[in-house]
Amino acid sequence: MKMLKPAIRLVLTALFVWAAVAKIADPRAFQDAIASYHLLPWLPGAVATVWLPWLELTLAIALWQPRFSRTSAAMLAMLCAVFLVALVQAWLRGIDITCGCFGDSSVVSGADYLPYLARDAGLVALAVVLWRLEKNAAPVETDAASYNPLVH
Amino acid sequence: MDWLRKSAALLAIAAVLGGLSVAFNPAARAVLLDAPRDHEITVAQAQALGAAALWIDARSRADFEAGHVDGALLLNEDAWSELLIPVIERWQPGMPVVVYCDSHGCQASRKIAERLRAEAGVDTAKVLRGEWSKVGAR
Repeated sequence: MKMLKPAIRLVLTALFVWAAVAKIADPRAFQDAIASYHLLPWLPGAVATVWLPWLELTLAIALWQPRFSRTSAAMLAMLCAVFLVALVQAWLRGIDITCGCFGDSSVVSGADYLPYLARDAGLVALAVVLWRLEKNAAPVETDAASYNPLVH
Repeated sequence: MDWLRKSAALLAIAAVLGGLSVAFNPAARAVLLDAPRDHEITVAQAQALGAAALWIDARSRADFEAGHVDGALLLNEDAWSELLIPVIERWQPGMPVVVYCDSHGCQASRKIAERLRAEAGVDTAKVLRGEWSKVGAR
């Protein structure tokens, strides 16, 4: 159990750094992927294209910063939940999409959706488990800024 | 409210990094400027070609049968070899080819145009940038 938290953190970091770097490397392909979901108008889609990969990277790195690890795990869980909702709506609407998740440009349709849905659900679960573990392990926070040695 | 401050800080860091990528990475900047890409043609440019252009519908047969650009030929990856024959029969060197699919973001038209250029020698194949329904459906 002791190794569970760093193991989950490592898996999430590796996956989200991979996802972020793939998107940053080819923003036009990621823009096409976002457009294929038929969810966002052009401008919000373009902003998401530029911002989302950096958010993934920031959150992945922040998992290793004790002050931010719990918040980062919660935000990753929410982000994966949003991706999951986007996938489900596309699946239910019968749209052929490009996932755009890890820089993969293959078309997803019909039964192809199932592994993607399972993977996203797994990521949500992993992030939630990490959030819970961080919560249980969180020490009483000492705020360096408010610490006054003269008082102690 | 500590979690809210931390969340806002992480969101802001990502926004700053995204802004820097737009400033220093031309590919990221092109996303926000919606700059045209290689082998793309706008709806207006395609319409100006008139009857001189060969239109290729890269969607599924069901979508094609539900409605397509007047005179377009169906060509998709599901039946590439079979559907390519009428395209090659119709195409002549120098004839502009416009490939389209569902929307601005769909990938099928890019893939089909790429294959037409690489495998069939149709070097004039371009991807329609915009909605095919604005061209004139049948």
